[in-house]
Amino acid sequence: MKRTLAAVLALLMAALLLSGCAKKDVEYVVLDEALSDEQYAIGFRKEDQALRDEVQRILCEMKADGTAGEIAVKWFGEDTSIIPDSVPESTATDDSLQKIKDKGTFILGLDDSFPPMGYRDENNDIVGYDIDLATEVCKRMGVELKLQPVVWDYKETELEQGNIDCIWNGMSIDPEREEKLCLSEPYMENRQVVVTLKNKGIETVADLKDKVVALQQGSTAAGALDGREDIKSVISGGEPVLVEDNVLAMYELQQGTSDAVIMDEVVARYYISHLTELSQKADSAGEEG
Amino acid sequence: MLDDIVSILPQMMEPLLVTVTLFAFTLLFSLPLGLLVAFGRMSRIRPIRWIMQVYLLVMRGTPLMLQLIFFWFGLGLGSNGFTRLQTAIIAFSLNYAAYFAEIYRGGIESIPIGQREAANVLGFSKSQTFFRIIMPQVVKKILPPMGNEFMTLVKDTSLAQVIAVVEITNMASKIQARMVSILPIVVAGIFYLLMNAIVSKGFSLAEKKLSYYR
Repeated sequence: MKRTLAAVLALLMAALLLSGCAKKDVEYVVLDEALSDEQYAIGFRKEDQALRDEVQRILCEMKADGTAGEIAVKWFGEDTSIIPDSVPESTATDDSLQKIKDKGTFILGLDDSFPPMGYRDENNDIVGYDIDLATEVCKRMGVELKLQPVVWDYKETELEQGNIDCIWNGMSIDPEREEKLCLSEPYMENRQVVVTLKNKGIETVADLKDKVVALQQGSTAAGALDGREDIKSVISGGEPVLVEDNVLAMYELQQGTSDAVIMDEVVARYYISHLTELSQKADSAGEEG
Repeated sequence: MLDDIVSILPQMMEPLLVTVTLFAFTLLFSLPLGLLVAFGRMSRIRPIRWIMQVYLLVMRGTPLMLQLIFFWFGLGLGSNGFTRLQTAIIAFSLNYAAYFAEIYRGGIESIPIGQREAANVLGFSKSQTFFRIIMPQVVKKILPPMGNEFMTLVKDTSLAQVIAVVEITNMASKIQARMVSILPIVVAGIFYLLMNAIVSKGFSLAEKKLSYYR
């Protein structure tokens, strides 16, 4: 038992050391020039037109009465929503909306590790911009919102099998999703941006030549880089470093194993403000000590 | 730093319960099921033996991760009223039963045939021979490989995250996404370490208790 305890303590100390190293004084920058522009939308089953139309109608209503704007200000400091003011009257005749109203719950599928759109807070509640929007939509629809974490790679299958009623989690519109899903109107804009450290000397996208670029595998960022053959062909190795998620990509940058990261702008902004806050906290703690 | 760890702990309690539930129920179902499979594998009836061999090959020959995906999406257990955790328990039980079966078989076949013959001569019935004479020796022999499997199972529970079961590792990466820190992963590691320390201690106690002939 003593030995186990000693091992645990040793691990703990190693962890403290490691995370101590990670908090080097670094300044993150996001390049002005983006690799691609895209828009977020909500995905429904192809046949659930009525449900999609009702959610869209409520979103427009929220836009008109200012609720949507307030939610955006809460999360991003400004009204970033691009929800249209109105949409044509729904002509859908399917029973998808009625089904939701009958069962009284609307199941929202998300990958709850995507701040600030949908993630777990300290109290283990799933929160975020998308969640606030959906909560208000469900309130107006008169149904209960249920949040179901799913694995992002399988979101379409989960939707098809009826385990969730929609995918609402900062999902970018792309041709494949447009074909497979019934998408809402775009509700927010996003860009694939380059995040780097100030001391790396990368000021434009062209400066990525011979630099190591990290990004999340299977993400929209990967697609964006594929679409920019001029950049992809000149980065170090001709291929980006593919990591499991955006946090690990940020570590790559922090630890110096990569020079730049490509990711969603909204997520990048969250991470940068969070990491800067952390290092400031660590600095002030250091001064006190 | 320490208060960061403390702030993670309460959030880890629910997933810890999920991990322990998955571990416990998998053992509950797979230990007896494994014995049945082992009997089938040693059966004198050829078709049964063949079926069991195919079962063992499939369960041990494909990754548990793929089996989980197959049970949840392929068989669509979710649309048939099963929860994610229940599906994981089913997949884990079937998978681990295959490994346990081979451990049981190894143990049973290591008992010299002479003992069965002697028991027969002394008038023991078949089931008496098995439960009174063979099994007590088998249990002693298979403890070390069983300990291996138990410890592997503790760690394998992390695979359940492929069907979105919110267990320890899954929760750790969610917290990691919020905190942008490697700390949750370390905390998760310590949880597994502690659980396995208990498992390992349990097995060495059991071995001590059962070594009454030494």
